[in-house]
Amino acid sequence: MRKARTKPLMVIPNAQVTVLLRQWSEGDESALEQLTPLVYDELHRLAHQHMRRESAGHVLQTSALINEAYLRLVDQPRIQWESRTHFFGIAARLMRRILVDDARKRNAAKRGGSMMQVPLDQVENLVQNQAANVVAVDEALQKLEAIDVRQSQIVELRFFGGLSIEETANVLKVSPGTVMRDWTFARAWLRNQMTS
Amino acid sequence: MPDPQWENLKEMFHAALALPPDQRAAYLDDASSGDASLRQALESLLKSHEETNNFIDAPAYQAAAEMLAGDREVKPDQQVAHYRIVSMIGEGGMGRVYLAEDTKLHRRVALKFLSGTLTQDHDRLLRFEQEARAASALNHPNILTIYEISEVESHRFIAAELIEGETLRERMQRGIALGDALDMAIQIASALVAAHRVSIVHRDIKPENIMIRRDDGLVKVLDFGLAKMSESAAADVVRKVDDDEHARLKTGPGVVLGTVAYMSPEQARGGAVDARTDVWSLGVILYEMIVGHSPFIASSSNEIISAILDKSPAPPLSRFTRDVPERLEEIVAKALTKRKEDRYQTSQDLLIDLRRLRQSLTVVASVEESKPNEDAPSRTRRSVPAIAAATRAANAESLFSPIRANKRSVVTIALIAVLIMVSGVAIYAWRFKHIAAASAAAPQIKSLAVLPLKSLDSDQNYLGVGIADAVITKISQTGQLTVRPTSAVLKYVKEDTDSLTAARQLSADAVLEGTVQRVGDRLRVTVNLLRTNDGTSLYTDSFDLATVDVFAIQDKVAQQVESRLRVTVDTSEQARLYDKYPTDPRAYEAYIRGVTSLDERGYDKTAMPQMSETINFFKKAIEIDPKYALPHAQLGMAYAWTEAFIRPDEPKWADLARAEIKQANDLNPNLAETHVAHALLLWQASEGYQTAEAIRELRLAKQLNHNVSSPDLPALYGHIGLDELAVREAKGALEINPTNPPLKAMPFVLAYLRADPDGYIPDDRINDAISGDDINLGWYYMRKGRLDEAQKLIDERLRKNPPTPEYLLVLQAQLRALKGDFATAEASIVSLMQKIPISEDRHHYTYDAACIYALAGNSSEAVKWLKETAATGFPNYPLFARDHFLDRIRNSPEFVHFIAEQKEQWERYRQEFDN
Repeated sequence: MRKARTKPLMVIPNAQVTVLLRQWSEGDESALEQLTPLVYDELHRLAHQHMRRESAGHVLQTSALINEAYLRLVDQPRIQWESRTHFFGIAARLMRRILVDDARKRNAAKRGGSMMQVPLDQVENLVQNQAANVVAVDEALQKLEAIDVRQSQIVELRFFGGLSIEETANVLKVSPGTVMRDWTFARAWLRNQMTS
Repeated sequence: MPDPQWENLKEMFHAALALPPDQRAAYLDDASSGDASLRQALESLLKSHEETNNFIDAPAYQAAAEMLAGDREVKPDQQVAHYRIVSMIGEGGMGRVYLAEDTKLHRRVALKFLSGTLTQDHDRLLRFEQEARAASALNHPNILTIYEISEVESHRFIAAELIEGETLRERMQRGIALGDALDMAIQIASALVAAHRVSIVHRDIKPENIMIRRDDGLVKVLDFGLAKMSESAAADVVRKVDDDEHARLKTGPGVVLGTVAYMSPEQARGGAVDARTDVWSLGVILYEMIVGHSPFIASSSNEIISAILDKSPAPPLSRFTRDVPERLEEIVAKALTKRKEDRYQTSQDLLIDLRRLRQSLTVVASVEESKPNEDAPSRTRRSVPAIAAATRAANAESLFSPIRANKRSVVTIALIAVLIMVSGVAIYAWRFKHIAAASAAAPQIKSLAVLPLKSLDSDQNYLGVGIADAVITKISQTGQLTVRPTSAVLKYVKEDTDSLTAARQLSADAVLEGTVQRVGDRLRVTVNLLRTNDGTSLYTDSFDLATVDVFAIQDKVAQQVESRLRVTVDTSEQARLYDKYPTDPRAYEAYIRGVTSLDERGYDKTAMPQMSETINFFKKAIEIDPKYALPHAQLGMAYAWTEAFIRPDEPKWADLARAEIKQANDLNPNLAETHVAHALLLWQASEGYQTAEAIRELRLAKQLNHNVSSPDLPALYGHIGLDELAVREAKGALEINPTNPPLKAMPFVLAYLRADPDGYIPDDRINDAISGDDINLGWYYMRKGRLDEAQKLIDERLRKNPPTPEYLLVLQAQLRALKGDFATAEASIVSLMQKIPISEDRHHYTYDAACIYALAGNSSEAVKWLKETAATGFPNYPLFARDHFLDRIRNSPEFVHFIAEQKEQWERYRQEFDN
């Protein structure tokens, strides 16, 4: 029946995001400016939820979480993405932009000493260390992109898009074995870049 | 085209990785064939590989958690988390306080933002959080309720109960009568007792930290846990106190942190502080309430401090005021003893003395009561029940002698606690009947909400839920009270709502709250039964329990319950309680976590991660204890739900659900949970929409356990056209569970099922009834014949929201048919129906399709869709017989035949279910 089980209202997909995401994927860079705060807010909200669940002893797959974030924002099946690759590719790229920009701002603020980060607990601490890496990974990844596009796509989908090996393989239409091999190499290569 | 050198590098890297580490060097020598830079590159890559650990394995997304940027100031209308700032209401040493609206729960709250400097000391912050959390678990009527401690975009804030009233400081300026002063001191002391019991010392008891609620004069102590934050700061300032004329400490420009006047001698000395410090401060307040000024008067902070530290005692009250009872003089003197070893040693002792004194003054109070006092209308009314409650609690305490036996498990203790608490509440209920019989004026308590007990150790939350669940099941079985079901109270596990607010939300006359704490290998459980309308504590108790053998002790306590309270414990119910406690506490924990998680399930594809989590909890419980029937039942429910709402396209979920339900039933055929899960499964496409069988299962579940009733039962009655029964069932269910959203939406649902908006929804209530969904409103307009409004709504909705819900298009098609545009209507419904998946609610779409064809006069198509509707869970004969949208085809042979069949079946339903 249509209404006996009243649905929570918060999962209504955001049509605006759908449209903007599409415009951006078609090359309209101005769409990104409008898109960023919308996605940022949603991520922010989810991150908090996520952390609360973590501290309550729950374990949630991060890839599931990012899918959740996008599915909440984008009514995915309704827009005719050229392919799944396109959708997840765009999603990961957007996430990369947002996270890197945010991390840059944050680092700048830290250097300025105008802000104090307060670790809530272990979880947040780990997260914090990782955030410091985001900018460095992004820079190294730009170099990798120039050498090996597929590897950089894999890193983008995995690290910024939160996809699993299998999901990445599925999106790129290659075998999981290939993804695993490329991932292993790219990871070593990136780390090498970042430490040398 | 990839660089061949790069490809080569990759190949060699993987080849080397495939070798055992000790053979790699040889391989590199060989493969690089003298190319030193290649060899070095490979070596360094391999080294990096070894060192990567989990480098970038965790997605960067996790860093989003850190997006807590910007220490911005908040402004009116700004949104912080789910709070909307309204205005600033105060500023203190800890930071600013704002009036805000909780946009989720639609209530007003006080938001206190901690200022940046205070949040920089991590250790202190952590301690503060621990204390504030502990304080928030106190849940005492005289302690300000903390809803939430949170951080959003680096705003660290506390959301607390909003008290509309005045501070004690303000109240003091108008002068306080002796009886009122005593009454307020008793309330402050009660708050201190509750806090000290869990080792929380306030450290900054002063009139500014005490509020008096305007409505009822209830006293609230503020800022437990906060004082510790400022403690060392205060001590610093004390050491270098200058001749500050206002006798106030300043921590920053113009910010008042506290006054030295209420400091205990040990505090002023900067020494160790404990509960006796709070006793002292309360003594000062009591003194000041009675005589109108503090016991240590001086013109500067320094002088005040030296008066506090001076050996000579404070001057007696009688020096400043007449008619002070001698006993009060003694009490104040004892609270203000300079050596803390000679002071009241606990706040409990002080409270007892204050209460006794109050009791001896009750005669005076009752005289006062006959003269209405505009200033504090409720004060005397409240004090009398407070004494009555204290007496009652003392009696209840004497009923339970301590239980001692061998150690076994936490779960065992929980069970005992449950049984004792049940007896406690039942004693109250039983007594209350007698009291009520004696005095017609006493308000009747007919409904009870049992909230999940707050755990003081975060990892023990499940015990609080488990205990509440068992108490609910147990008491609802006695039939003496209407008890809100577990499903209605689960949300309070995560929400820090104060108990009385929760009770009001749940429309319960009384509320049982409590805490559970592990102390070594013992378990401390406290409970408090509060009357909702005035917050009076009707019964409180605490149990400090050792572990014992569950089966032996259960028999013993059950007997006690039987003989003392005349409550017959049903043996099958006992069997069910056994099942709630498996042999292994870890299985129980996993099960309760699963239940809590299942409560948060969603309705669409995005709900899968959450559901996977739920499923894993139940699987874990089963893995630990395969013979534990409840997790099998709930796992069946989780699978059936996944099949129905989350993954209707994947047949495996129905198979999984079937298997778990069977297993649960084999283990214990008397579990209501199993039958509820089975009902959900039965009404799906995979099971051929066995509507009647689903109803039978739900009726059985209801018989087995009131606490597990499902909102689906009235909905299912509505689907098969037993309208009156549906309404009766919905009303009954709402009485037990008034906050359940599906039940609240039931009037609309039933109107929808009857295709008759006039049936259950008054016109002026339509906006409540549609539960925020404007498509429902579109349907309402259309069925009311207000076609222009329906059209307008559809047009607007189509314009503003491109991903159009299918139902909107169905409405649009129906509207076209109503306006006579049959060709367009039929064309769009054909393509629409191809898109609507097989799902739980497809039968409504098929019915709408039938209506469109009927309006167009196409009887064969219309009846085809009607047949599908009836066969897929919506065999609603009265609707088919009555709906005027079908009038054009009524005389067609297909319809005549169809309706005759439907009528026959409906008669059978009526005979079976509504007899």
